[in-house]
Amino acid sequence: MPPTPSQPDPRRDDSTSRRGRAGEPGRQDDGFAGDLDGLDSISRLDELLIDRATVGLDASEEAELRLLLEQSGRTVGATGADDTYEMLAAAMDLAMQPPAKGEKLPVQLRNRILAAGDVWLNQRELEAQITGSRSTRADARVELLEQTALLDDRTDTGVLARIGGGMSARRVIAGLRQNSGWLAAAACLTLAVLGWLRPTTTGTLTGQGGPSTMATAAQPGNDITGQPAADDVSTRLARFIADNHDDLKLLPLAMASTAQRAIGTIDEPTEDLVGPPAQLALAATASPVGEVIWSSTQQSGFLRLSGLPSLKRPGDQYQLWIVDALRDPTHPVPAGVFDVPAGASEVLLPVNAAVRIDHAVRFSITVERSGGSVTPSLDSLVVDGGEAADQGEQNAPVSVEEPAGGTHAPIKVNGTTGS
Amino acid sequence: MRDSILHRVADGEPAAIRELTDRYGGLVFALARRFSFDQSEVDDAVQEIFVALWKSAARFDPAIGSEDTFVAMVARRRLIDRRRRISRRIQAAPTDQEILAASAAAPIEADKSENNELGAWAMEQLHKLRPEQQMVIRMSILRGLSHEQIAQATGMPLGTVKTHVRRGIMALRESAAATSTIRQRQEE
Repeated sequence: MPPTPSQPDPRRDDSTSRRGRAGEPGRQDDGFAGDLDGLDSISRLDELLIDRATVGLDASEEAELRLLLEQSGRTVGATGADDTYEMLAAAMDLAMQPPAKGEKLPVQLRNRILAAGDVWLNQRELEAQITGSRSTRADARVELLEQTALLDDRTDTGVLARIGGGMSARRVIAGLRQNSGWLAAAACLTLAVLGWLRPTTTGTLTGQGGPSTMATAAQPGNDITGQPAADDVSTRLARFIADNHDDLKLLPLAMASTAQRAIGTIDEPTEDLVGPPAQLALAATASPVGEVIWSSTQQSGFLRLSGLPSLKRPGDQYQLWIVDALRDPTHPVPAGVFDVPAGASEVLLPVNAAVRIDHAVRFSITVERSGGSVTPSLDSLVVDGGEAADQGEQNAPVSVEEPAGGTHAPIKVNGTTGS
Repeated sequence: MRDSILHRVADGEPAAIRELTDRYGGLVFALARRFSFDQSEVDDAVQEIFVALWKSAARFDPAIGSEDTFVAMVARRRLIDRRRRISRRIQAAPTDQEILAASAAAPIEADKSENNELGAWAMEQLHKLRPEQQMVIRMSILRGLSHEQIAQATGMPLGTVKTHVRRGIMALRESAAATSTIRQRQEE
């Protein structure tokens, strides 16, 4: 059959198709050639599948698609979603613009991918070993997180993805194996990740020292805002995790060479780093324990800390620093100052970096004069940072950092197969 | 057939991770550069795509499509999602060069490689459509441009753009389903 040309009708806007539902007739013009001519309707389901393959869907459209797929029973294999349009679009993409022969990844990026692959394989190994060991409480946490994250059917479930977050799983394993019962410890890490949704004292980090101000610095000088803000910060945290659950990593608290001295004298102004790495802190309850949950995409996150005493000398504040693997380790990125109110057992603070952080690997805390500083006061910061981390797995008990170059092990919270 | 790179990745074979990176790094990198607003996002996009590939590798079925197509499909899904997620709500207008490339009057020479039989077939079908239909489909697929962006760039009514893209791609799939392996996929 020859082509049947027809003029586009400007009156036919998208309202017709937007009202349509599965099985409802759509437009019948456009004159496709040859055997394309028989097409006489587009269901809403097909519209959504085609949009997903070309321009993507927003959250409400995703929800609508899911509903329509369930109603139609039009599923494919184990994926639970019809991806034939996506496959067709991909094939057309390659045919229209095939990649240049011999094109390669830049060396640095290739190394980063391979490092991430190493982490992923180790996570699989860890997952295989802890399957079935999750506690009832952990299951409850998973369920809560899944509900909060609004179940993205494009992501994979992985207990392992939740364990370790952005850390090197190999190093976590190496460290944990030095203790007995590392499976139990791994479960603790799971809970640490999932425990991000528990209630706590909340506050605000006040930014300084960088070219940009922090979004959370609404109340400069009044860092811990207490109960009125608690719900707000918790809500923001829940939304943050839900919106970015495939792009989250946990940054461990870095080990300072003089950490124990700092911890022991924290009530006196020492201008020192504080805090052991997370898993050491598991056994040292008197030490500060904390993590930063970080989204590279959003360039923001949340800090949760417990065991950090309030500072007694007027004018002193804690300052948060985030170490970027691709920056000079002696120049961590300042990420705000904060106070710990007397009697607070734990604080939860939103975090925004002063400058872009491409490969956040860990964080540190120093005591600074009020307002903070541009660089940490302690010259020996480098000792806790990249140099120690790069010495290999013999440092595992105090080195839960990622390999230099960064990895990006996302925290996944849900279950179907992913893209 | 269980000896594809993707299946060996799914089996957790370390060497396969390296092979996958080297075999498809260029393809993924090119797609990521084409779809990313901001070139500083490209590295993160590439890593996100490879993570997705490792996780979905077990789904690859060589009876349905080539490994290249599967990799491109996974990459495109991630890139389209990223565009929506991290576009910072910037509605970046396509550049003149992009419009020109997408709407070039000369037919694009389809990739005749054995690895993309479906793509070559689809391109033949695409060339049967009217030029403006071909143009909006190219703009949509090659850059993931929104319907609004295409309408703005071409001066076509929004509804017409949507009609062309959706009906064009649906027609291609329907035709493919009648003649090719896509039908197998639908019937699984």
